[in-house]
Amino acid sequence: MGTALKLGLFALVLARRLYRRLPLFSLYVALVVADDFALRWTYHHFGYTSLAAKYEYWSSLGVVLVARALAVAELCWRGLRNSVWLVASRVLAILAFAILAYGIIEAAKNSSPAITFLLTVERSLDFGIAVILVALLRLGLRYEVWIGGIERRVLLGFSVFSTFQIVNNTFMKQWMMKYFSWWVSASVVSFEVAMLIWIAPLLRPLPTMTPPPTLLSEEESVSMLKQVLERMRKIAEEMKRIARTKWK
Amino acid sequence: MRVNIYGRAWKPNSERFQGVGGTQPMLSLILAGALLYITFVYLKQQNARERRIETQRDLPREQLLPHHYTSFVEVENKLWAATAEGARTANWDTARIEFRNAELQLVRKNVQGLQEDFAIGNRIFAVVMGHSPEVKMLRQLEWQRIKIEFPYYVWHRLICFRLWMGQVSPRELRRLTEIVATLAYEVRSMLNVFERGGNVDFVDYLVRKC
Repeated sequence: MGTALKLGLFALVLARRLYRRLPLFSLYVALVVADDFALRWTYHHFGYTSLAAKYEYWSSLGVVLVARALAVAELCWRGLRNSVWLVASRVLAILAFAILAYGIIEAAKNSSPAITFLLTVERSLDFGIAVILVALLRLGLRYEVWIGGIERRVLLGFSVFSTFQIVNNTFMKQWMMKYFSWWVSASVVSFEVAMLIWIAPLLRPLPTMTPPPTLLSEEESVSMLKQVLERMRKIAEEMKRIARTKWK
Repeated sequence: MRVNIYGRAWKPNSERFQGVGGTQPMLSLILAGALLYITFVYLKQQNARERRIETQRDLPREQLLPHHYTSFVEVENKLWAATAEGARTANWDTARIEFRNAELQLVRKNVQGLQEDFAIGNRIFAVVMGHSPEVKMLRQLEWQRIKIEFPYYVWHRLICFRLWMGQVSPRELRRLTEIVATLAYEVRSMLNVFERGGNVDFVDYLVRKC
């Protein structure tokens, strides 16, 4: 079912030309499909426990992780504009650095550094994506940022997947060995739910993407906002003066 | 299906691995809950915005800007008239008066109107801030916004609490009205600046499409 969903999603991404609107998300979907087929091929030809399967699995995991991080960054970039993006991009860069540093430190302590690094980065990334999405949504609410319908669904899909992964990692960690198959299945199901969320809006043709009109040029907005700020300061001063005389 | 458990079942690796979610389960759960909640709130806001744009298309501009706060004098007069003569003291402003249901309802309606005004003003303010091309400017605008937002929420909560207790303080009601009036004045002067600069389209976008 998972492969069918992945193929369906990929076909819809191509048919609806989503790669024009969300290129990094489309790349992520393409890599997920490629990863699935590459794994199946490797398992079939070299066996499930072969060294080739091991390298294929862990290297593709790394690639898909990077693609997922980039897809979330693309959503942030599309959602936030101007100075809000300037602030958000710094936070994103710090968070990405922290995730990588944490992964490297954990990997250095372990007997199998590469695998530990990827596992740590995967978990940190789930955590980091959740933090980023919370921050993105909070900023979106704060600055009335409006995003298109498809972007909203992509965001919802990532939110559902990350939430599930975090809860899963938290609860299943202690019993990971005992109920290992359940842990993996839950993770797979959460990704399938996310895929269904992404597929639903793609079943209908996407509304034509019209670039938002440039309502104010950069120079204009700087000079206007300077005037606005000046006025606001005057109003605040006036209000203070009135309050002092009135509320004495 | 992605049956990619290879390597994860490798016991020594899995045993020693400590992820973020594993070391701080409480934090992870709070984060997961916050993420789901905020996603829901955001999607709700987006849908509400689409509905609002549809419904306010043909409304006159005055109705799309804060306007309820101007009815405070009328409300205060009605409260004054409804107050028993003995209770009309020199310190009317500072008094906490218990009213009948009809007057409480009137105050509730007034507070609701102020809430609507605040939502409109705050929304326009937010969109203007989102167009700020410099971080420094964004910070300054944000500071101006917080200076209005914080007292608004404090007074609003206090008045709602008093209403729940069946009391009204004219002084507190006036304070809240003044805060909303300040925001409304700031928003109007903001729109004037844009209009004077010939950006009528931007003003229309702020008032009708946000």
